[in-house]
Amino acid sequence: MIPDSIGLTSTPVKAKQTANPIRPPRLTFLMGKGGVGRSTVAAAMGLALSRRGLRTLVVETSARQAVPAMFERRAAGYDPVECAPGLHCLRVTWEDALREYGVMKLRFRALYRLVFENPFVRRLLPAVPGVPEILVIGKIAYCATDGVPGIGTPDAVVVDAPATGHGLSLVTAPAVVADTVPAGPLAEDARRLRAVLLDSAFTRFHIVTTPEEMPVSEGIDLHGELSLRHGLPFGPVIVNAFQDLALPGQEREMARLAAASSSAPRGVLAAVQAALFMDARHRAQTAHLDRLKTVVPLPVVRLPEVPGAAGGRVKGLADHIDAVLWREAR
Amino acid sequence: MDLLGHLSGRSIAIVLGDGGVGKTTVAAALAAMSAASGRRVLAVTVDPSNRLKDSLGLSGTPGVEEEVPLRDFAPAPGGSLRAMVLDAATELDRVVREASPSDEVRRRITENVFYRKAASRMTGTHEYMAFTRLSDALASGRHDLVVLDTPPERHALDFLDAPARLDSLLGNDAFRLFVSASAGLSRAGLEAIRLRRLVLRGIGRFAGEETFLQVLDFVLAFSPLYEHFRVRAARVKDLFASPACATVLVCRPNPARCPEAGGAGPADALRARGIEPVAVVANRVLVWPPPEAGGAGTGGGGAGPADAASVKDALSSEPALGLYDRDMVSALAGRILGLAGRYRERAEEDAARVTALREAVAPAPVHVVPGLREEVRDLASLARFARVMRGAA
Repeated sequence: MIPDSIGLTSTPVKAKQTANPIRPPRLTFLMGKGGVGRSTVAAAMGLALSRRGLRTLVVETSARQAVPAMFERRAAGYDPVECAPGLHCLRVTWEDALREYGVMKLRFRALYRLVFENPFVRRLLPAVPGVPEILVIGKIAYCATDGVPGIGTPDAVVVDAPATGHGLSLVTAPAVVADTVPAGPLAEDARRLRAVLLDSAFTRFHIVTTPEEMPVSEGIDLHGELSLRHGLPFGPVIVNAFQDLALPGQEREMARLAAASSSAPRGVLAAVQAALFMDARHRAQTAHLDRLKTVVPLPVVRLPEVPGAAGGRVKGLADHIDAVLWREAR
Repeated sequence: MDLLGHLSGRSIAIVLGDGGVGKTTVAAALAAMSAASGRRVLAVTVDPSNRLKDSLGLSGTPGVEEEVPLRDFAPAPGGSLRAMVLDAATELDRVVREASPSDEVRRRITENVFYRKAASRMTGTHEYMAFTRLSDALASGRHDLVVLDTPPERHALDFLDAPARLDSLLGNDAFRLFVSASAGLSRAGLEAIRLRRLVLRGIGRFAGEETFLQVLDFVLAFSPLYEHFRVRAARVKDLFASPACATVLVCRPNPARCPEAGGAGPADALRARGIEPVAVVANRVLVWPPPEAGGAGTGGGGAGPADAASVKDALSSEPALGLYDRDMVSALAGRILGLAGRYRERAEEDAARVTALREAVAPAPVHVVPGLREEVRDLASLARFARVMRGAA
């Protein structure tokens, strides 16, 4: 399940920053803090890609799948679910990946059961740093290079990576394992995987964030770790749920004066305060994005807050992503 | 009952929630208010944002209790607030140092390559160190209440499962046999040897035997500490379920921030673990009218939505805007209507989500904390946040 047919050497290639990507890559990782709407962005990106005629696979890494429900489909565990024409969704967990990999390496299901379904091994393995991660990232890379039974090799794979810390462990696992583990089958696979992730013609990472303090801070840390330290290829930062309306400077002053009014009806005062709230939110969000831009040398694409139910949000976001991400970056 | 009321008579408050919901701020406000009511409170937090450290005026030296002044919180006599920041790597070193029966054991652990590279990132480490500090702090008798801001796990409930996970790993029979140094001639011992060989051979094909031996080395080096870890983990598990402990769940009304609100409620997940949350805090909820509008203003229409004409009229006749020309005031009215309309849209969505949340967590009470324009950045703004939070119904 770990790709060995893609013809890459085990020497890591020097990663290039893809500043204004025009074409979607084969393998896209969406990284970022929990709760920023990463799954929604993954679903929307998958939908946008499939509308371009690319056979697309959205990979989720948490046990509870979120994407199928956004298309009113039922999750099917380890089997891919067709969410829209040309768009499939798949869940990859380390247990599933272990079963697949274990059976392959050990050749016999019975031996797999004896070894990997041993209660102690089942508990120890996930505690060994890098092991569950390397299984999951290996399966994901394999989906992109060799395909998925039943749907073939997709043109594009979008990975909704786990939240910050776990996501970091996932995509750095090949490097960590290649550096810590002595020579052997695992180290060999890890080196090959590292080369796939470093290949900017094949793979691209995006930070997904909301314009808020903690998500931006974690995004900055992620970029520092993954791009600066590990050399992974990054595309634009995707800022989700940006509140784009504001009061121009003088009107803000006027609104403040009006808010202190002693004669205005309560309904009007509420409207003024609500406007000041949204304006303050816009400015706080802009300040967080400015902080991001001073530290992270990547273009930033902003997606608006799309109200309504999940399904409608995904379709709305897909249009925005298609318009801003691959043709030009603002 | 207000939020603070839920904590009276309790000695531990565990604040749970996904990252980014304002959990740390809620925990800090709860701790400060309890301290201001006259209790001796310790707030424990793991890897807080710099803003929170700054707002509490902490230096952030890991593992050190620091005094936080209460003057912004109208303190009653007798109360005090201390805060402590924990750091994973430092804390793990401390635990290993304390639990190691000898320097030799400690060295074998801390010099192991896996410990150095990855132990502080291992599953359960954050939880474990928070537990040890929690039980140490309680045992010291110097605090009436310990407020624990839980680590920002992927999932709020991971934290609660950590003791059970640890217990089930360390208490596992196969595991005990596996690490048992006295695999002698007993049947169990022979079984252990057989098992060990098989497992080693299988894993060798998977990861390389050398790798597994290194990890096993780490596991064996750690084994003198297991009992210590297990006992404490079990103690914390009991603590969670005890009446001295109050669990407060924090979430955002945003569905992404409160993923369980629709399906099986987070409260159900807690209850399945034998814990009844004393309260659920829905944080940063947009409410109409905005709290800043308060009871101000006069006359007609109550706090209902204002239409375009009434906003324009009111602003045109507003004396404070007398200096601005007509066009500017009319442009302002248009912009205010646009922004207020968007606010109301969000507020309506939030209201529907709060209703769903109330149903999902009943009978636990949901306290709705309105979103404030001001960010918490120092003790004074934390105090303002705390007052709004305390008033939250």
